[in-house]
Amino acid sequence: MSVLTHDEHTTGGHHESPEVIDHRQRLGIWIFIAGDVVTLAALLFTYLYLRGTNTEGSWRSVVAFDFTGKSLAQAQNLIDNGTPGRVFEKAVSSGLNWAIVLAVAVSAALFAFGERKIREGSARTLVPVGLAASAVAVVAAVLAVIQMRSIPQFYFVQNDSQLFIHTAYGSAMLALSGALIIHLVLLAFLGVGIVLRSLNGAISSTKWTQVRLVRFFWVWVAISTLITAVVTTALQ
Amino acid sequence: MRRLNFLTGIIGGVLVAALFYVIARETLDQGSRTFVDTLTTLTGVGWVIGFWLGIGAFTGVGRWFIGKDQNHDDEMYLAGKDLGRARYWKYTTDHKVVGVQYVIVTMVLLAAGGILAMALRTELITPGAHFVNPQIYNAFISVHGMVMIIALIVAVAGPWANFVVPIMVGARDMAFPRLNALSLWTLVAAIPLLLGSLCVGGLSMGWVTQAPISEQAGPGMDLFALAIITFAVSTTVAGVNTICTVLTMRTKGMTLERLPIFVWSSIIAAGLGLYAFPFFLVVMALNIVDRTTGTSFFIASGGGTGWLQENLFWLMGHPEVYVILLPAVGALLEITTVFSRKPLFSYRTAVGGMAALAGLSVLVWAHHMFTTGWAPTLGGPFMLTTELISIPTGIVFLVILGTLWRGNIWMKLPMYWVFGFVFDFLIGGVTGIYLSDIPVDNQMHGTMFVVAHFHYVFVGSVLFGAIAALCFWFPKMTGRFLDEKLGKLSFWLTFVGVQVTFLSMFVSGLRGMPRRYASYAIIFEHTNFISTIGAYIIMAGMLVLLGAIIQSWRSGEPSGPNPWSSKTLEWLVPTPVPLENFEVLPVITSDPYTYGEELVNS
Ligand SMILES: [Cu+2]
Repeated sequence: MSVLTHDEHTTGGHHESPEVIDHRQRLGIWIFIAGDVVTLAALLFTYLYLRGTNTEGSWRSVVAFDFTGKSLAQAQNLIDNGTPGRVFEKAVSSGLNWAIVLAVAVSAALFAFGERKIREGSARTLVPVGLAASAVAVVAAVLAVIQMRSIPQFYFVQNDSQLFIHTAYGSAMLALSGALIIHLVLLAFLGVGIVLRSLNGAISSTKWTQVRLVRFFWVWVAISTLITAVVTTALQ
Repeated sequence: MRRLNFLTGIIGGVLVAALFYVIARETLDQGSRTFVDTLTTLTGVGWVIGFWLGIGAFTGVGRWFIGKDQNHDDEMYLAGKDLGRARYWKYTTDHKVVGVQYVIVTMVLLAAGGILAMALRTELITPGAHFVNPQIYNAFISVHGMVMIIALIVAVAGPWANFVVPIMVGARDMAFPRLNALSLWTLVAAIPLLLGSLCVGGLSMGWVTQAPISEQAGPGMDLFALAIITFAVSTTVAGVNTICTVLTMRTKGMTLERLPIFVWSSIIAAGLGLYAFPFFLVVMALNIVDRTTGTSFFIASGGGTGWLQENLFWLMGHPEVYVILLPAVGALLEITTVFSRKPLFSYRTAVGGMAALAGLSVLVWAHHMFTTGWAPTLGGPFMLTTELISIPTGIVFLVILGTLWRGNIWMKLPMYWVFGFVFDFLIGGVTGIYLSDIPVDNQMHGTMFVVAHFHYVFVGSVLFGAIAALCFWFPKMTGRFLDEKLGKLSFWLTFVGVQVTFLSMFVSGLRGMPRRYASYAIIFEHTNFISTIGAYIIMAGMLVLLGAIIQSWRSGEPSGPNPWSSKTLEWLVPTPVPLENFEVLPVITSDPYTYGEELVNS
């Protein structure tokens, strides 16, 4: 390798320009998002694989005790004297599913709006809008928790083991909502962080590139929520 | 921030783990079937969080959050400026420190996995039970497998993608120095979980954590899975860092066509890892969720299926083989060209071959499932893709041979390991083609033949590559040569040991000896005895190498900055490498392998 070690064009300073750093950070975020795309793909693969395999016809259906609407005493009586029957599982509410998509989309739009404002020079908008975006993300997370809790467990008896289980469908939905909640908590953290930073002057109308980085991730989470909802409502 | 180090990391990890343990024990229903697993998982999570807190991984994040970023002094302190040896025990961001830390971590992992391997081989010296019972044997098998897989994933990429890649491309550090420290210390956090799984009963189904056995296993499985999730985070972070460093931090004139081949192998492997490890994370997370919350992903009675586990696992598992292999091959190519004093033979073919390996490797995963009954109609296509992958593999192999061909070969220590690789990889590769053939696989699957095959690839090839890389870059890292005499002794012991151990293991396998059993039928007696003797020879080789490393690091012969008269950038900076690598960033005017030509601008 031939090398010039004394090049007059090299400034010699060890500090890099903000543009260079921003370019690098943008690439970093995109690669992280690529990894997240694979994670989502693995979870959707799980959902579709379980649905397609439908082991012993048990997609949204399981041979178990159904306690829906039963009192504790009746439930106990069922366990002691009953035989488990095939219980069909209602799909997770589509309305709730789309409400989550809407909430995540609104939070992403709010954050993107704040980003646009600060790039246009109006730093004051970012604080309330960023807070609102984080709040809506938390709301979406709460909705996702409600969705998770709506997934039933069935009392299941096989050989010697007696346990509460989720069906394959319930399991896959749980994993998808769980992953979404983790993402939303992360977004809320990043959103509040951006707000605190702009209050402290670490982000301003001349230093806004981190807002864009967070926006990339935010929009990706919105897209991934949409993809998830399309798959899980179209193919229940 | 300034007081934190490895010790505070351990203290933090133990404290938070204890806290999580107590909270979980008090709040969870102790009669529940999932109690023990949930308790174990939460304690493990507590360990990781506490370790991160104690080592200082959250400090930068916290200061970002409140808008009080670290100033230049903080950054210099984090980079280890004026800290002396203490910086090796801290959350240090300097890529050269991280490189040294990775060398140590790799050696610790290899030692742990090696001790387990010796226990296994000793048990197998003659038929019948000796000193480990079958349960412990199975636990050792599982943990040996995963410890060695992790050791080999980091064996080349960890030390050298960190230590030399930034210098090779003319950068002052990695793209994200703090993430670099994060990846290293996250890996360190995973090790106690992995080894700790042995202390809580281990697991019995091998490193592949085959469902539904993985569902029924004891709490060892929880720690094992958690270790892998932690490791997947570590590798993802490291991969992003490597790719960003190479794509955005190259110095002027360092075009993609002038990248040293090791740099190419590092980013291709990192990219492949980014594809593979999310599957690893997901399959282990789903396993934990099954075990702790009553889901049934991999439980047929609840509507799940073990095939899902196998698919997710091998979607990761085969690409991962190339995540392991590629950096080692890149380092070997680098060494071959330096010690043949010839330009790399067909640089573009080498890059293309490695890229093709990575691309094809995502399309072959089901060859691990030929005998499981999953999608028999796909057997043909998967057999075809698997056989196709031997083409780029062969190309890369030919690049090594082409570089050696009519070279002016300088037989220094690193070259011994290169020739060892050429020999072993041929055997490991060709037996892989046998196994890709479905009728043969139906006979060979689950036998010691498979074990011998992948040990030729992992020990005979990747480990040899890793040791070659160590011998080659040791002078840059330490300023001293790795002792040639001891190094060559180590080579001959290890090389002979590998042949003795694994050639006879092929015979055991061909005769039908199943893998993963603590005892065996009398007809396998002789080959197993020979394998065990071979394993002891390998161990002797490794101990000699360890002695050579310690002795040379302390008092080896000083090497100067460029002992091999190499032309890539890492050899053109002083040794020890200054904190920011280059006083003035170099400008590159030619490709890296101008051996045999006059230097144009020196
Ligand atoms: Cu494979």
